[in-house]
Amino acid sequence: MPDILEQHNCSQVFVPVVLLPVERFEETLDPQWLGKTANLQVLNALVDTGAQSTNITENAARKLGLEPSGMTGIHGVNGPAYRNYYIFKLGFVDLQKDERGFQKPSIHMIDREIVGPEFDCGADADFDVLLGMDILSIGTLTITHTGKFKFSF
Amino acid sequence: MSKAKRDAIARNYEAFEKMLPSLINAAKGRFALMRDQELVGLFDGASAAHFAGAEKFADGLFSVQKVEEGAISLGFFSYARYSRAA
Repeated sequence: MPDILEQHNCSQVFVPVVLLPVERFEETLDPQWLGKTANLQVLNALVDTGAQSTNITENAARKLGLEPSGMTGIHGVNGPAYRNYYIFKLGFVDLQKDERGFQKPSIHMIDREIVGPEFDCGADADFDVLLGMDILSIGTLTITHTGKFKFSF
Repeated sequence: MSKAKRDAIARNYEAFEKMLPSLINAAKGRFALMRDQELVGLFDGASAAHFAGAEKFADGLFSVQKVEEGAISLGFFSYARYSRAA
C-alpha cells in the first residue's frame, strides 16, 4: 500500500503526478513498462476534495499534446463554456528519500481510467491538475496540524 | 489537434445531447462512441469505446461521450455538467 507524503501550507496541498493518455494504455500490459517508458512529464496537482472528478488545465493538456476524446459543458469563473475532455490514467510520483538519504523517484499508477475535462484557470496558475474525489476516494487521506499530508492507497 | 477532429467532437456532442434523453434510462454511466453525429455503440468503459473507435475509424474522427446528465462539481475552480444549462 503506497503512501504519498507531502507537506501542506495550511492552505493548499500539491502533489507531483504523471498522466498516461488512453493512447498509451497498452504499454501498461508490460509489467516492466515503467522502466522502459520515457516521456512521462511530471505535473503539479492540487488536491481538491471539492472536485468530483480529476481535471486538467488547458495549458497542461496542450503541453502534453493530449488528444481530446469528447466534450462537456463547463461553468467556471468566466461563465459557461464547452470544453474537451480526455481519457487518461494517473500516477503519483513518490520522491521520498531512502534510508541513506538518496532520492529514489518511483511512480505509483492508479489502475482506474479517468474521464477528465480541461478547464481554464489562467496562465499564471501554479498547478496543472485538480486531483478530485474520483481518485482521492480510493484511499485514505490524512492531513495533520503539523503540516503533514499523507495519501495511502 | 486538427480542425477536423475538433469539429467532429463538437458536432458529435451536439448530436449526442439530442440523443441523451432517450439513452439515459437504458445506458446511464456507459460510454457512447460517436461518428458523423451518429451513435456507433455503447461501452462499459471510456477506453473500451476509444479503442473500438480507433480500430474502426483510422482517421480518428470519432468521439466518446459519457451517458450522464446533471451537474458535476469540479470544486473551487470550475463547475461542469454533461448537459446544457436551460
